[in-house]
Amino acid sequence: MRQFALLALLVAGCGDTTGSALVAFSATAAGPSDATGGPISFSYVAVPATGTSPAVTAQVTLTRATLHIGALYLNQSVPLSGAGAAPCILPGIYVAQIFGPIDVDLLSGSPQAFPVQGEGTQTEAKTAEVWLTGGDVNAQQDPTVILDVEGTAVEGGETYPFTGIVTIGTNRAKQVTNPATPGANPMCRQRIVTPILVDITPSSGGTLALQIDPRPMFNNVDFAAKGALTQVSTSPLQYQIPDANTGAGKALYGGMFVNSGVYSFTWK
Amino acid sequence: MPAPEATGDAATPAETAPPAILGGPPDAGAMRTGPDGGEPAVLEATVVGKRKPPSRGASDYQVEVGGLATVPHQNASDVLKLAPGILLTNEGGEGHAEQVFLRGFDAREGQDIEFTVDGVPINESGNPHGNGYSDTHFIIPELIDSLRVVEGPFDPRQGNYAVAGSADYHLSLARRGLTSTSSVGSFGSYRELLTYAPPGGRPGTFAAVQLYQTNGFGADRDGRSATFIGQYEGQANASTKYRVTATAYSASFHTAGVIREDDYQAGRVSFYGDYLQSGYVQQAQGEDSSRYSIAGEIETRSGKFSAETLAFFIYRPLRLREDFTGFLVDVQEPLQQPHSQRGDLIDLHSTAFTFGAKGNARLTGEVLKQPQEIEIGYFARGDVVSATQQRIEDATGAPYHTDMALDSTLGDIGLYVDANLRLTSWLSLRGGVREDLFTFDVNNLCAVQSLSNPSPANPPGDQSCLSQESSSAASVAYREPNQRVTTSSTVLLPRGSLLLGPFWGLSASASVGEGVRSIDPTYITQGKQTPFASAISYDGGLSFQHRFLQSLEVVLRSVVFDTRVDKDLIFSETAGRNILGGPSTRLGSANSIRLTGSFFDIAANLTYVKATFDDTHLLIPYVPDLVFRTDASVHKELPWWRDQLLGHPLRASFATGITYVGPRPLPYGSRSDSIFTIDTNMIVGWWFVDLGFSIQNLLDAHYMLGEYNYTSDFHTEALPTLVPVRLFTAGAPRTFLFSITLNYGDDR
Repeated sequence: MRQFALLALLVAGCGDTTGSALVAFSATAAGPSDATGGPISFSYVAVPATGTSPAVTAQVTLTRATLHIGALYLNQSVPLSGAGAAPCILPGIYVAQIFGPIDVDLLSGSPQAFPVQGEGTQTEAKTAEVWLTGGDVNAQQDPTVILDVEGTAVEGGETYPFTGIVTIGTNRAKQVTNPATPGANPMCRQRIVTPILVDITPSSGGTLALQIDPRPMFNNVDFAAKGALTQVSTSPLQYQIPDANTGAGKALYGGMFVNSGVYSFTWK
Repeated sequence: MPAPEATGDAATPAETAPPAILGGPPDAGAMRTGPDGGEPAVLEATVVGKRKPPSRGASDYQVEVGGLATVPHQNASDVLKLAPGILLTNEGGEGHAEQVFLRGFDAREGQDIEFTVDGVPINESGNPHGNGYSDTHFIIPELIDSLRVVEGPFDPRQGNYAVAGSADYHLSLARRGLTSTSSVGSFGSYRELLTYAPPGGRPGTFAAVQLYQTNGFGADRDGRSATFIGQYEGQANASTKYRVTATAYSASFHTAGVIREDDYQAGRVSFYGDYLQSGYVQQAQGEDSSRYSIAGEIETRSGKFSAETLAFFIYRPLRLREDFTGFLVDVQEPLQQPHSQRGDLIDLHSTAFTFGAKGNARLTGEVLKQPQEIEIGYFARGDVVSATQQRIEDATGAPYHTDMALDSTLGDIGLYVDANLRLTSWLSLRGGVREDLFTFDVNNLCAVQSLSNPSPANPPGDQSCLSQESSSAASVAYREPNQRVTTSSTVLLPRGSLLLGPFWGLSASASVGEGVRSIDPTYITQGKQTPFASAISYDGGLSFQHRFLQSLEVVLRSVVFDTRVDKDLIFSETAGRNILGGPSTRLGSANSIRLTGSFFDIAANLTYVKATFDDTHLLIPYVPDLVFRTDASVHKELPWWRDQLLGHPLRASFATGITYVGPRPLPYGSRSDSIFTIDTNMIVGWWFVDLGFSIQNLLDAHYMLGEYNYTSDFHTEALPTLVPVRLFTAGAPRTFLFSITLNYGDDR
């Protein structure tokens, strides 16, 4: 039977195709290439949230930084300036998908493999999406810790030992401002980082490599601003970045959605 | 085969010939060679059977079912396989119309093939599942006497939808008297068939009732149906014949739908299971389908003139629930309340009234010492269709969105002229021209489904059919939710065939013709000038027919064809049907052989075709490029024990049907598995009783009947599956069927 099928293919012209191909590949995620597994130190000019105090330089040392990724998607769509926000999911545009979950140690530059193979088509991808979710991307509540950080910040001569987590649920929900468009800001939009520009054509046997740099996530975090942190103890001194859309918590959450500088994709 | 019967008037040569069989020569029915293959034999018989249209060449298959009736045929569509190049699949279950692939066309459920039963149209204009949808399940297979399949648009009689070709079923009942066939088989299948045909009456006079039910070969494939067909054929006087036919059909089936191959491989869904059984969805798929029709035909002759008129009325309700994608297409719109994917189950309903008439007048004469014919004919059809398509919320079963709501009045009126000119005894030119007027009056009851700047004071919310429209960039205005569009257009369709021969049984033909398919009312816009897709087809063929040893009839055919379509139909999983695509071309060859003897009947065909899009030159997905089919039957009266069996011999038959379909091209550069199945049937009969035992899929092949590559998400993963993967519908496993047939009144 097999020989018959092969003969049939030969007769039918096996060189003919409908175009493209289904592909399977592996995927990895890692921290920045200069990360060694130990603490990462960096500095930046903290932009005050209120604008009333002058900008100061913040020096941060991260001793823990893990990011929970639900999935990655590559798609063919190209963002158009001036166009309204696209739906979270637009069937027909996707080129590749890789499912987690995976908790990426952002302090390590070593590739950490996704648990399952990715799949897709041999089609050029223009943008990527990072899904920061522990389950249903539309769920109102999700207790999954998406980002978990610990470190010390020095700003304006003061030291701020801190911990912080980011969850994405109703604490990140956007209020409906126009009653005619109650679905304009669904929860899924608070969990998907996109568009991340890429130029990748997946092929079977390849590897999609995602590099995540936690440093730009802090670019807008002003540790010294009033109410930015919650002091959880005085001895030892310890602060917490609130898991809410206020203060440093809002800035850090916003930093996770910076679509350039934080996430970069390459194909190997 | 119907017994000859005096009519009182002279028959034309075309009527005197015995019926042509599959693969008969292009001129079969008009000229036949003598037993020695020499000069044409002069036959002196008159028959009452309906006159067969003159052949259009090597792609005009006049299929007499004959001894192949004992090959297992599940339904009327199955009989189509006797013509070359046909593959049938079915993603919608037993009650759903078969998807037909023919000569490089994915004709879906008939959209590119004109289906008729004794001239009465089957294609459903305006059906929201597919314009031209053709459900032939109302035809009882035992009543199919013959089938004319014209592969290509070469006969001016072929009308709308004859893009890939046409198929006309001819019904009659050879077995007279009262006959009961009871069948029981695998998976709780039960079928009861009762037929009655007055002994000594015309073959076209009969009544038949069929009841069928099954639990299905896997999850959610149960169903039941009932069919009635009654027909009376009479003769008003020596020159006038008439026929009245009534049909009634009703069916209700569940269907399993498609399964993702990765879910099957991971054990989440079994091969013959479905997502409902596995708990991933809550709502069943299926179909509730009915068809009621009445038709009457009159045929008169007066000297060299003859005329036919057929009138028909059809009432056709259909409800279809199917889900190709799971939870994918329910995109959150800004106007809507926030929601998750609610489910993609399509609930489609249409009610159609179809009425019309067709007929012709024919003049025969003799010019150049050759019989000549010219025919003018008409076709008039109206369809009043009310159709809706909604999406069903999986959790509640309630509709949450209306995709479409159309009230359509569709018209198709055509005229044709067809000449059958014999220039010499071995050269004929047949053809003419057809012109059709298509009219569309479509009231879209759900014309506005989105707004760019909805009114905060009067938000439309989750309504599907909106009564607001953006009047400017910043404001909205009230409007009624409907929009009526009308358009019409005519199309001219020239068709012709040149036939040479026969020379010692060998004939040649060349044909060219244009076909047309009116487009789906969904696509109609005001004043659209060409509301149809057209195809042009070229065809050349050779055939050989010869009778050896008085009893062995050999028929061989080989055809090369080339067809171009300006607007092809491409399957869309999100729409759940075919949608309009770009231009495409098919180039291929169909080859067939039929051997008929006193105790056997063997037919085989092999078709190869390459179907490509014109712009990209890529293969058209899903269309099989290699199809092989053979049907064979051996039947004999056994000489033993005749004396001990009240003078009635034992009779026995063994029949088999073998199908091979090569790997089909699928989207994204892949190919499906091949299909190889064997069906068998054995019947032992004596006098008034026959016992039958059939096995379908004898080798119990675990095969995928339909295979697809597209995006779907059945919530089998924690996160949406958004890239294309392989999906399939399972082919039936080995199936047994026992039957007993009792007859009273058949004197044969």
